[in-house]
This record gives sequence, C-alpha cells and structure tokens, in this order.
Amino acid sequence: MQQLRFFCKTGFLTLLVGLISVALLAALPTSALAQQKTIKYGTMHPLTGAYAVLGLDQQRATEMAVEEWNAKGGVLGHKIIWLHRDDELKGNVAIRRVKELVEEEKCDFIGGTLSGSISLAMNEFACKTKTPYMAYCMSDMVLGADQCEYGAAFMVLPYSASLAVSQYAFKNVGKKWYSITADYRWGHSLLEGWIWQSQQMGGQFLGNVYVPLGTTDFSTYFAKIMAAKPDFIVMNNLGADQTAAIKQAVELGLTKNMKIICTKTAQSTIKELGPAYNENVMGGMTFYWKLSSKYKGAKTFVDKFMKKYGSPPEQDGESAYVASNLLFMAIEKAGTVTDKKKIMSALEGLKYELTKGPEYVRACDRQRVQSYVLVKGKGAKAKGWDIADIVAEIPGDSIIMSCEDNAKKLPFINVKLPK
Amino acid sequence: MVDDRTSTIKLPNLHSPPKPVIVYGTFIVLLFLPLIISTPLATEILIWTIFGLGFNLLLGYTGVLSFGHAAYFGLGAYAAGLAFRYLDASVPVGIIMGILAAMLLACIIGALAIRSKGVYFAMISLAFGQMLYFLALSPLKGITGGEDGLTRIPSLDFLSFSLGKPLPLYYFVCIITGIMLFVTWRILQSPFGKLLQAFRENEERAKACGYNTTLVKYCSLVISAFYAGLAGALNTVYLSYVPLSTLFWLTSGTMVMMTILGGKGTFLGPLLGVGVFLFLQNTISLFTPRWELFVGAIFVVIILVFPGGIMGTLTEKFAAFRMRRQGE
Repeated sequence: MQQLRFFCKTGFLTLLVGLISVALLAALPTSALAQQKTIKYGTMHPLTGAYAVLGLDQQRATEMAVEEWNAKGGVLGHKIIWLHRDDELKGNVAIRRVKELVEEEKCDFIGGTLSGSISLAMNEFACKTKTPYMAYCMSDMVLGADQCEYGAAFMVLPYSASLAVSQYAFKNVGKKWYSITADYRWGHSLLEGWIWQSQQMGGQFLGNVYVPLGTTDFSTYFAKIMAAKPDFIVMNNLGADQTAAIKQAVELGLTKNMKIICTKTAQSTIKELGPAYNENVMGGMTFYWKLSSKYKGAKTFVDKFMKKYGSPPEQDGESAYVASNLLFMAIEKAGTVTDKKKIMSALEGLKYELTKGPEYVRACDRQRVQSYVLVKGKGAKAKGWDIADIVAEIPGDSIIMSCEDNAKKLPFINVKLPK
Repeated sequence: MVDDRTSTIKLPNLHSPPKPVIVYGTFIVLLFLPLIISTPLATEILIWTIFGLGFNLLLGYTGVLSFGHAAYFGLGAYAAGLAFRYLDASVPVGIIMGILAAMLLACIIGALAIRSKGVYFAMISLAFGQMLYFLALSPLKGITGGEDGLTRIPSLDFLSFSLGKPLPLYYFVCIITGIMLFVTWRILQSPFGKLLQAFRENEERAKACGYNTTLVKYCSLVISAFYAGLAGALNTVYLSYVPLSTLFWLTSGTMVMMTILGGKGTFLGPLLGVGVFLFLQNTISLFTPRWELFVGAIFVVIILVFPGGIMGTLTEKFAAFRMRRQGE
C-alpha cells in the first residue's frame, strides 16, 4: 500500500508540474506575440559529431540572414521566428527533432542538415507534411525520383564538384591521375564524376583505392600510388580523413613529384593543416571568402560575418545564408506566407545576386545553379585567414546535367566503378 | 552479477513482479505523457521502452548480456520498412513481419551462441550485429538503400487513423506499450519467469534441480527479440524511414546504458532509464551545444547516487525502509 502511495504521489506531482508548465507555455505566446504576425523557420545543424564546426557555421549564417530580414521589417510584414536544433548527424535524431519543429512548434518552413542521407529523409518528411524544405548540404536529392515539389537544394550536386575540379585538372595539371576515395556513397558519386570526365577529356585513370571512413594511416596506399607515378592524386574524402591523408602525403614528400587535388575541401581543413596545405595542394569549394575581392555581394557578406563572429564564413555558412535568403525572397515574390505551393513555385527559376555573381534556382528541380571555386594552398606563407588563393571559378551551368538526365542519373549511372 | 548486499538485510520482495496497480497506473500515466513532453519525444520513449522491456528480460531477469540487440531492433525496422515499401503491407502485417524476422534471427543466433557465457556471448552477439550492419550497408544496398537508409516508405494508416499525425501515432504506440507492459508482468509471474530469475541467481543450482537451462535461456533470447523486433517495426512506423544506424552497435550500447541507468532487473527500470536518457538528451541540447558534457555529468551523478540504477536503488531503499518499519 505504501508502495502504491509513493507512486501515486510522484505520478501526481509530475502531472501537476506538467500541467502548470503547459498552461504557462500556452499563455505566453498569446500575450506577448499576439500583436505581431509571424512566420516560423526551423533549421537543423550537426552541432555535435564529426562536422560540428561546419554545423555551427550554418547556424550562424542562418541567424545572420534572419536578423537581416527582421531588421528590414520581416517578410511581407511578418516577423521571422527562427528555431534551430542539433541533429547530431544522426538520422533518427534528425527526424525526431524535425517532427518536433513541424508538429509541436508549428514551423512553416524547415531547412539545414549537413549529411546527404539525412537530407533525403528530411526531404521525404517535408513531402509528407507539405512543408518547404531548404537543404543546405551537398546531396543527391534532385537525382532520381527522390524529390517532391517541397524540397530545394542549395549546395552543388556531388558530381558537379568532380566535373568542375576535373575540368580544370585535365586542362592545367596533367592527364594521369590516381584517386583516394572515401568508401561510401558520396565518395563513390565523386569518383563517378571523375571517371566520366576523364573519358571525355582523354585523362588516364591509373587506379583508385577505397578507404574506409575514419582511416588515420594512409602510408600503405601512398606506396602504391608513388609506384604508379600519376600527375596528380585526387582526394574524394573530407574532414579528418582528408587532413590525415594530406598530412602524410606531404610528410612523405609526394607533393614534390605530383599535385594533390581535393574534389571538396574546407576552410577549416586548410587552416588545420597549416604549412602542409602548400602550393601543390588544391581543393574545391562552393565559396571561399576571397571571392569578396571579385563580387560586391561577397564582400558585404564576408565583412558582416567576420565582424559578427570573428572568422570568415565557410562554404556551408554561405549555402545556409543563400538558402535562408532565397526562402524569404520566394515568400515575398509569392506574396503569401501560407500558400506553400505558391511559395515553392516562386522559388523555381528565381534569379538573384547575393554572395557571388548572378545565379538562379533551376525551375525544373529547384537546384541552385552556382559556380565552383578551386583554391590552392599557401603553405608556410599563410597568414591569419589568408590561407589559400583562388585558382579558378568554374561557372555553374557547365557542371550540371539537364533535369531529364538527372532524373535518370545519366550519364553517371553508366560509369563502371573500379572494384 | 549476484547482488551480495542482500546478505545484511533480507529483502524478500526485491525482484518480485510489481503489483497490478503499478502496471495499470504506469499505463494511465503514459496516456498523459504528451501533455508533459513533446509528442515525438514521448513516442520515441515508448518505442525504446518496449525495446528496453525485452532487453531487461534478458539482461536483468535472465542475466544474459547481449551486445548485439541492435540486430533484432534493426532487422525488425528493416523488415517492416521493406514490407511497407515493396509489398504495400498494412501496418499490422508490417509489424508482424518485423517481429517474425527478429525472432527468426534470434533463433539462429541463439542456436549458435547461447551456450557461451558472459562476455563471450556478448562478443558473439556483437559480431552478429555488426555483420548485419555491414550486410545492409554494402552487399544488400540495392534493397536497403545502404547508408542513405530505407526511404520512400508510404504514409501509413491504421483503422482510418493517419499514423503520420503525432497524436494518433502516439496512442497507437501507447496501447501497444500498455499491452507489452502487461505481457511482461504476466511473464514475470509465470513459472517461466521464475525460472529465468532462478538461473540468474544460480545457474548451476537450477541445472542441478533438473532444468534445461540452455533451452530456457534460448527462449528468453527469442522472447527478447520479439520485443526488439516490435520496437524496431514501430520505429519504422514512427520515422517513416529506417536509418542505417538502427543496426549499428551504438544502438545496442545505448540500450545497455539505458537499462543500467533505469535499473536492470526492475519492472519499471527500462521505462525510467529510456525516459531519463532521451529527455535529458533532448532538453539540454535546446540550451547548449555542449549538451553532451552536461548529460554525461548527470549520468555519472545518477550512477553514483543510484548504484543499482534509478529504479533498482529506489526499490532497494524502499524495501529496506519497510523492513525497518516492520522490525520496529
């Protein structure tokens, strides 16, 4: 009986506390926010896990975009309420939190994520709940039949990155190449792009090694690569894997005989590697802060970001900034905050100039068409944030396939990957 | 591990099944859970509770540590997901497929491994779990979707309720949780349940009494897989998506952690462990990106204050208190 009383007591207390807090929560918005019309934008970023630095960059850039719009008086007179959550780079956590954002917090729009696979799951959720979703990361969302009219993607497609970088490499660096590829789908997609381009431009593919995620010792692979004598090594990996690979390659003196070209790299990787990221190491990005000397929009964006957070934005921050801005621009263009379908069609074909030159969101698949930047390290000459120089900017239209081809994953589906 | 703290004070009812009022009371409290915390979180807590009830049956009541329970959970999730996606199965059919697949796997793994004891069984089960993970990742990615997870699962309805909506989904899962709480309670009261506990306390003595311990442990594993498969299938219904991480060993590790946190071998331990774990993780991360630091610290404190898990230590203290009162 006492046991029963004990449980009744605790159960009752929890209930009471719960009810009071619910009542308080319910009372708050009606009193404080009743006067102003609002829209809610919820975003997800991996603030813990392997890409925490990049996630933070996304979060900051989104915050900046929202603050800018709210300072202008919001969108169509509606103040933007921005909520963000940590998705921990885990699919199940991301879906739970996005459910909370949409079902509990009643977010009208969602965005974010830094993983291609999570963005696919988020996109599906967006389709089912008819909530516009702005994907910030590199993702295959628009490929195949995965996409519905409620999703839009703002980073380049994985194969676009390889097409851009390989175009430059085969023209300016050499023809013989060897690749190191992270052994998961994103790495494979990049490799497909490289192999296809190599066939088109007469490159000579000497071989590839698949490396599991989280590999720290690359020396055995390098012995094999040195023997093959390529003009350049292609790195289809990212983050800690890339850092370890480049560090060891430079220590072994590989860069004296050949170049290293990373299909995708990150400002934080270059910074971390310091002198090891030298003149013989190149990497691709969608945005590097030195574009500010080329574009006025980039300058405004970088200066503001630098002033607010003390470091220049990464490409992920830039993507977040553009995605948030475009969402608000689309709402403004559609002239409605409630008709989601109309907002999404306003986004289709939207032309704008924000952080780079003139760009647009492709009408057929809501993919942002943007240029890809290739940078070269400065090694020991790096100073502060001046850690790399821009070598080339490859225009967006030349590195994306038509919507019809994308829907069938052509021509990359025909590429035979090495074992 | 056999608890030797009982030697100083005799605690006869420590591991006895709870009174019926606790089972029903818990269910009634669960009905109101969405009033206190967010519905998706509440749903997830219930799903993991079902998983935990089964895991606890094996670890807490039978004393077998499986470190590969993600295999049953994940297989249940994938089997249900595949049935929904490719066969257009209804919700009950999908769930049954998930359960059957998980139980079948347990039959196979159990037949191969249940004779090994302690850490050896833990290692073998971990190996099987990881095998399944890598199977889904690469060789079978044509049907499982590889690291993208299983997507394109259609919207699901049950008796004209849309399970895509948060509240119907919650109550659907809640009723199943209620049933599973009741079933667990009945199992613990049955002669079979008593046997499990006898084995945990002293397997040699049970053997000497003429019981086939291997067979009973095997059954316990298969029943535990039933719970895991059910939880996995419900997880698919809940997420409309199967992340590859459901098969990863971290899922098993999380389950072990939750069960120990709540108190292994106690009836409400899994529910409490799961609830505290997910609630802390979900809530603290709203305030700080350094939430892992705080959650970790809180877990350390909990384990220090409640060495037998939250429910375990509470029950012990309560029983000791009662003994003293009776003594007076």
